[in-house]
Amino acid sequence: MAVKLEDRIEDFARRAREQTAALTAPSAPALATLRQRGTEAFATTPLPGAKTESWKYSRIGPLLEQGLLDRPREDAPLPEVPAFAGFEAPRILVVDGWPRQLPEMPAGITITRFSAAEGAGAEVLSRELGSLAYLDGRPFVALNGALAEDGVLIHVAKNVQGGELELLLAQSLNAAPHGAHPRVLVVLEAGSSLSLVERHLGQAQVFTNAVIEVRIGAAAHLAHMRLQLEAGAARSLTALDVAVARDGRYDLQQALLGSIFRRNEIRIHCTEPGAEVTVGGATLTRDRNHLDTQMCLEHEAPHCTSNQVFRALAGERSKTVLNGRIHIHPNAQKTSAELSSRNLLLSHDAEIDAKPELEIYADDVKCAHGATIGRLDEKSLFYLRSRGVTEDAARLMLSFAFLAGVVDAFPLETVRDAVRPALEAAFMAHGMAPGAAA
Amino acid sequence: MSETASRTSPKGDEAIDRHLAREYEAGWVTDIESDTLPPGLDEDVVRFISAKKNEPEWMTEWRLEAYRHWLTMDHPNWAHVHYPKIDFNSISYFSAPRSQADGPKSLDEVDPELLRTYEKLGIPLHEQQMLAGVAVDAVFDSVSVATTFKSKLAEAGVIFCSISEALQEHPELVRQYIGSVVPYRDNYFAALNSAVFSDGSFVYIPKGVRCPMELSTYFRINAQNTGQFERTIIIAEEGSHVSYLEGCTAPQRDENQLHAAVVELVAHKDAKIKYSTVQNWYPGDSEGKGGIYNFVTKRGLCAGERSHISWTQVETGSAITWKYPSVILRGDDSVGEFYSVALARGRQQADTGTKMIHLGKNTKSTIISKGISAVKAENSYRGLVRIAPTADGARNFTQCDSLLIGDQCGAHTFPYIESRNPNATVEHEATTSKVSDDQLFLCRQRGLDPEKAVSMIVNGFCKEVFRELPMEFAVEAGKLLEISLEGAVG
Repeated sequence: MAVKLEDRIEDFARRAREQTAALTAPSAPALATLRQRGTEAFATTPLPGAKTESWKYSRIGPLLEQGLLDRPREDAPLPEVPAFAGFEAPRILVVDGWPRQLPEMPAGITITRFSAAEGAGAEVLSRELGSLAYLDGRPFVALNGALAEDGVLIHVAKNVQGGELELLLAQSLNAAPHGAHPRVLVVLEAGSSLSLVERHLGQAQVFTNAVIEVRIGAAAHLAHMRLQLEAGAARSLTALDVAVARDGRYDLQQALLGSIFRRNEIRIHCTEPGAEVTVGGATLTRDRNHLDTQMCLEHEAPHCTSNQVFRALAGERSKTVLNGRIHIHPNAQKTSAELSSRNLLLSHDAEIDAKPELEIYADDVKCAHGATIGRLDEKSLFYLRSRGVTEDAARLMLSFAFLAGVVDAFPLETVRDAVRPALEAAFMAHGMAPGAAA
Repeated sequence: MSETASRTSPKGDEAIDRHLAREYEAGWVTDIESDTLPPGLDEDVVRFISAKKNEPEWMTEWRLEAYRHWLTMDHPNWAHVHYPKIDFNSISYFSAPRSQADGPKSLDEVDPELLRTYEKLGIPLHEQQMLAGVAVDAVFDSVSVATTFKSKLAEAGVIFCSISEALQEHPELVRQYIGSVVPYRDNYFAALNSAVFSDGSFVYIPKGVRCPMELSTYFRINAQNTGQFERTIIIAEEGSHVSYLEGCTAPQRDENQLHAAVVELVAHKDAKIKYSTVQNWYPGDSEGKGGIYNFVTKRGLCAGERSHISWTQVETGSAITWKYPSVILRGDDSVGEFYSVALARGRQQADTGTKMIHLGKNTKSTIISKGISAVKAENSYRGLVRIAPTADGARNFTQCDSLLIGDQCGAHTFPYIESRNPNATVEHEATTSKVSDDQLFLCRQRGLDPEKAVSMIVNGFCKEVFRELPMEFAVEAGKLLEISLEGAVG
């Protein structure tokens, strides 16, 4: 099986192109445009090779396996969705990339399939779809566009307070290997708000290549909670492209476990003055899991602030990567941007790679980043042990204190309460706690 | 941030305009007949250089291997710098002052024109400078012209000579160490240098010897269209100690000139090497015309236990700087340090930083980088800290601060941090800010003019690095910074 990587990449690209050509043309004009642009971009954008800088710490290998491009069935059996303690909100269920269940919403909030969008929805779609997820140098975003057969539009009208909403991206029951390309567009008009809980479910060997675009209007507020709390054989690539307009607020909090391959590409643009962005990430990887976060904050306008906090634990043979880029454009004076990345290595076979970047073209700004990689403080451990706390419990306690800052920042209490036990279970599952560092 | 934050007074702006017009002060051309090879590069050129220097056959072969490998490589494009494609066939790869043929035996025999060049640069070549205790191996367009203090160093058993001389007199040492830290396959410019290097310094400190004086080399690119390709090797045997200073200037030309040097350091058990650089190559004019392309590979190997390598650099010149002095920490308990001030103004571009590769147990590294960008310059810190699984108890501390002067410049930080050992600790922090209005106001209020005030603030910003420089250099570096900053207040 000693096929060269270049050949496998070439083979993948060829199969993807064949599949694109085999799809039937969509009826929705916005989707047709997306498909066409994606197809064109995919044809001209090479897949990341061994020397692609943005893929330095992620190898494309796991995405190239047989079957991972197969078209998903539209009517595959729905998965069982495990209860999410205490959290009850209208749910959008996307299975294998197909929007399967959409909730009925009160006036002012539109949730529709791309294929069924009409009137104002169709107008929003043709205006916004593909306007945020840029294609340049991103073959998988292009591929998503090329292979997207449908998608979900979430639209909150001007000054409407949208409440809570769950977006569930799941695999079908007993899913066979295939490639899913979910596409979601979220548009918050001026003065509106929404709390969106994005959950990813499924552990089967499926390639999920999702693209989520978010447009936040003037003085609108999106609280976005992202939960990827299942490890396993799923190969996930999620692009999230966000634009925040004047005085808008975007709050992204994430709890992530990684899987055999998981990569999140996040790009947030502060396009007008007064935009405010907070990002949090609590991550915990174990086993042979891989979690790569490519974070980019584009400060394009003056008087914006961003604050990012990442806390990561890596155990067993796992690998955690964070590339946190802050880009201050020439006219973005009076920007305040911060990024903090703190990481704990829990085992000799684990690896953590951090690359906080600053790219600054304006002088009157306050920017800082910090990154540390270390281990649990021996003195704190000793203190707890001397108080009669067992080693396991002490490690758990300290590790959770380490993650707490991020977990506590989840804006919804019900979500917070569900995240904690999930992380705790993952922590205990593979004997990370008992002297794993020894 | 207060809205009342004011920009400098109109008077300050006037001063800016005046000083922006300031010309490069070391930019004259020394008129000496050079023995120069016509531009172009092929195997014959490599053979010519090697033959000219009467090198042993293995050296010629090594150069040719490097050249052949270079041909297979691509020009690197990952750095945050922009420049037109370099035509390597338009460069002349050898230029030696003609009087070299006879070989000067003492200072009296050295071309007086050349001595005046050094005098202008203020290099201590004469008797009175003996008191300063500095031995100079001056590289003038690739060939060492004068080496002082040889006898005193010889007494201590220290070898300090040009690399061509070392190839004649200590070929076995050169053969053992050349390419051992920076192999010719390492990168594009290292390969090029390995093929065509013309000269450089060779230092060997025997076991247990503390080098009786600080060693110094002054590099200067003179003739037009010549690249300068030095190769410097410093070896510190067990328990020895050496401090090496390097300074660089180049005359003012409209074309860009290429400088691709390689420096290799090897510190054995308990040895310490301190390498300090003050780089003031011609940066080009205010429109970015001309100037030196400074593409340098510098790397040290802490081979033995408790060895110590320290890089200190003050980079104020060059149109483009591409330089990452690194340390491979192989010996247990070894220490690597990197202290850097990089100032870019006008249209200068600097992409500089370091790599610390931790392999041994309890290895420690410290990185302090201060970047200053003014006017339309781009200044990037690019660094790598890698902790290997074997590096139990390793420790790194990195601090990168950037200062912006003017709203059209850029300051960037690209650190790579990779850890594969749970018992290691890595810390990195970076900040970017401008000269604070409060600080400026305080200084102005005390009667300092805006330039003095900025220079004082910048000096304070760089203090941690200047402290690491040998005294004479610290003074020079401070002055250099002051001159370079003139008129950049904003």
